[in-house]
Amino acid sequence: MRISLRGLTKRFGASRAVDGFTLEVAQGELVTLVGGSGCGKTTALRMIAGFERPDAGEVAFDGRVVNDVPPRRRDVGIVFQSYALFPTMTVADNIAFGLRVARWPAARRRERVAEMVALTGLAGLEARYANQLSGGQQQRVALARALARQPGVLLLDEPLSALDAKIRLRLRGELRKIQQDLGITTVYVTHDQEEALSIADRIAVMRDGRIEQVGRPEEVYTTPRTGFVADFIGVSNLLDCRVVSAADGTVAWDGVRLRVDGLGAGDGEGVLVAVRPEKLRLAGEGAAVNRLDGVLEVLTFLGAVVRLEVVVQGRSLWVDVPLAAARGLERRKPVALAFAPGDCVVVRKG
Amino acid sequence: MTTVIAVRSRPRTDPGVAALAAAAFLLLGVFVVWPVARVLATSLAGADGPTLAHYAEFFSTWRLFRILLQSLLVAAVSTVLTVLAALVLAWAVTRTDIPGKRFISLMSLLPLISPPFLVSLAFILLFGRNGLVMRTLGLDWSIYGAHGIVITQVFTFLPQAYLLLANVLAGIDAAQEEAAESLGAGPLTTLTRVTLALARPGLASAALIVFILCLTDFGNPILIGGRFNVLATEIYAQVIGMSNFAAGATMSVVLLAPCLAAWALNTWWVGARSYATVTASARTTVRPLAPAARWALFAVAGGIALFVALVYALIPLGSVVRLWGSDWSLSLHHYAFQSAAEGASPVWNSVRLAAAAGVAGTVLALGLAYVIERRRPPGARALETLALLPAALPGMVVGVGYILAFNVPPLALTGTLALVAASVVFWKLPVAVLAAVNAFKQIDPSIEEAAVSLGAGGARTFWRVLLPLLTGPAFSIFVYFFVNGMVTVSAVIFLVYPGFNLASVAILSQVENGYPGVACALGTLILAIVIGAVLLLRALLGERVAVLKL
Ligand SMILES: Nc1ncnc2c1ncn2[C@@H]1O[C@H](COP(=O)(O)OP(=O)(O)OP(=O)(O)O)[C@@H](O)[C@H]1O
Ligand SMILES: [Mg+2]
Repeated sequence: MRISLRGLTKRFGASRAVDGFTLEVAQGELVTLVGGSGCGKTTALRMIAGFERPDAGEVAFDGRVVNDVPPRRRDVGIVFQSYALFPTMTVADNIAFGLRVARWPAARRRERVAEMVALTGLAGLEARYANQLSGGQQQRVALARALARQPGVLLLDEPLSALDAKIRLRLRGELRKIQQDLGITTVYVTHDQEEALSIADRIAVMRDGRIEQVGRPEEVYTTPRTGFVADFIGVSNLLDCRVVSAADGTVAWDGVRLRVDGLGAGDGEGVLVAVRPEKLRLAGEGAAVNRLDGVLEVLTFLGAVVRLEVVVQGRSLWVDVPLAAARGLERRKPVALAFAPGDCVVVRKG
Repeated sequence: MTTVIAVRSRPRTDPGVAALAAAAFLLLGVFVVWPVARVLATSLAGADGPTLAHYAEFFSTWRLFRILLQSLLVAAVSTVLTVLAALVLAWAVTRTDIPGKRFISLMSLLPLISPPFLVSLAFILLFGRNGLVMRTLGLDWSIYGAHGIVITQVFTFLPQAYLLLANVLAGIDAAQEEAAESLGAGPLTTLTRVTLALARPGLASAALIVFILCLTDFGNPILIGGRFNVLATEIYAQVIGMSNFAAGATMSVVLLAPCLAAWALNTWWVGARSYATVTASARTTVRPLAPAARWALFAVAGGIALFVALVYALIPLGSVVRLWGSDWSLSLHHYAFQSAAEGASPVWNSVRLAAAAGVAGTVLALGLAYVIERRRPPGARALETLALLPAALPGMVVGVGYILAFNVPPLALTGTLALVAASVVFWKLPVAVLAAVNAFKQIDPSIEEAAVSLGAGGARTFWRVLLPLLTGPAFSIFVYFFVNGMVTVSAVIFLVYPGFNLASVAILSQVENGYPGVACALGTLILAIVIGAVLLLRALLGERVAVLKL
């Protein structure tokens, strides 16, 4: 099923939880909604499911507007953040609930439950109650229950956030595989940008109820269109600059001249130059393009790389260098940084 | 909000705690176990040694045996209706968007702080022989009888069931219902398969508690039962009317048995079945209803609430009408209390009793909870069970037991305010102890450990660290005992003595003697004092003072 959201708006009192939200999700596609706490992800999802009525805008499935269709007739499967398993029922009864409501014959129902149990790796747990399951198992039951009726759309609201890091990684992979095998159109809400990037066909970054940017994960990561996206997806050093010459791509950052590629602004305008920590490197002696002189303040060991906090012109910049390159570096000593003009992204201010 | 329930290893029992625990055992032994034991012993006492003759007589006398059946039947019917009404009200208030929820909630709780038989008094004013409705419509119908008991009990015990069910329903994660809905379930399937299924332990609990309350209710049956007898009123007649203690004790045991069974069922069976929340973050949202359903529900819930309001408006009204049913002119002469030999002193006595019970009960409940929850000496479990046991005791049994136990040396305490206060404190202890234990559970044990690590001793930690954190719960518990001291009747009616009558008991005799106006005046004063006390404490201490249930 194809989902079209056009200008969705939801107000709670005076504040707009979701504001002019527009998004197309193609058949079989997985789109992640990602953004900070309170940016309206859950509200947007609940409007797709039918639990909240939009104050303005439309939700359409395969081109048919469903604003007036109640949740139970929307053909949508949902996995709640809290899972919301029915504690009065066993695993099998939880999975079969939707089938019972739809009056599937008992034999077909059993068959389907067995399929779902196999698909989600729950074999042997059918007779347990929800409170006798681990968090990861509960999550699988919630998924199996949502998928049992073969809905056209799957909605997930932070499905992995209640789990610890290891199991989260594993279930993320399993979820994606199941979603692709079934080819089910999916909207996946998360506040974890890494999760959003790794699982999605496309990612929609939200801020204050609006979509800031939509695109394939690589695209959003490498070419963020706003400072917010650059900073929210991954880590970025945002340099607040003024264009000196649009013609040869020169900007000034607190008096330091920098050369950047892809400058789309006129002379005298303000822009943000976003540089990822891994794109900054340590510069040796002598001049270099985009050389920044600073003082090393903090070294943080992250495994294969070391993250440096370097203070340049009174601002902290993050720099990731390979472990080998960090050898011999000392705190409170001067270091020089540099980046290539092509290794930054120039984004609108705001 | 998450509650930190830290389970620490049991600290070594120090001598101070051992002494406290021993004192607690002694108190509970004397004021809970001993009276019940005396009732049991009296029911088994024969001219020559123990005998079952009194029971044989009870069960073979059709008049008496029928009273048992009647009591059980009326209690069962009242229970079903009360729980149903409470369920509708609780659901309407917690899960829907009907208007007027604050008013409905307030009215559902009002009977909690009034004498349990004011509802009967109001019904007499409406439907009695000189009742407003009967006079106006010229009807020839009598409220007196089993149906009267049932109707008044529903309104009297609504709050207990309402509070319990409102709590249960408010705790159900809205995501549960939404999950069902997204799986295709309609409103009815969602309600029955999900919402009510989750509320089932709460419903069972409410039903068992209300059943005990109805079965042991004394005020409503005596006022409005007419010639329809129940066990509670029959015990009173046997003991006070005929001084037949053996028969009274026997019937007390017969009344106690189903109450104990219901209590045990609720404590151990239902308690083990409540669904621990498996959700990370329960969220409750009110669901918008279809307009027709919304207005229908509003009509029912609002109607019940309005009727409660009417009932409580009638009491002050009845107190200022010169002669209800014939002379409707206004007058304050009922407040002169000319018909009563003791004048207005019962009201003053009630206040003294309530204050005494309030102070003693609060100290006892907090002390017990501290020992049970925090110090856990050997035998803490037994102490807890003993402290909670009175919840199963009918007021009549407490009253009869106190007469039997304290009329004779070594503990000849009858005829003292202290004994009347003790009956209220120990009978009403369970709710207060539970509230106090919960209050202690909310306080992270590390706070105490921090105080101890800083060199503070046990007593100092209690006074300087724990107690300041407990002011809210302490005053809630005080209010609870105070209110019960003002309104209780079934145990104390056996214990009032010449020169010391209580307002709640005086109301009963004024109605019996045909002075409903004076009864209304007394009722109005009780209501004013209780509501005034609650509001005063709230004004002084803010929202921390909660009204405890039961
Ligand atoms: N039922 C409601 N009533 C009033 N305000 C609400 C309601 N639901 C959400 N909001 C508000 O709308 C805004 C968006 O909430 P929403 O739950 O959609 O955020 P979210 O992006 O899912 O956040 P999180 O990551 O914390 O789950 C918040 O400011 C929230 O306070
Ligand atoms: Mg959310």
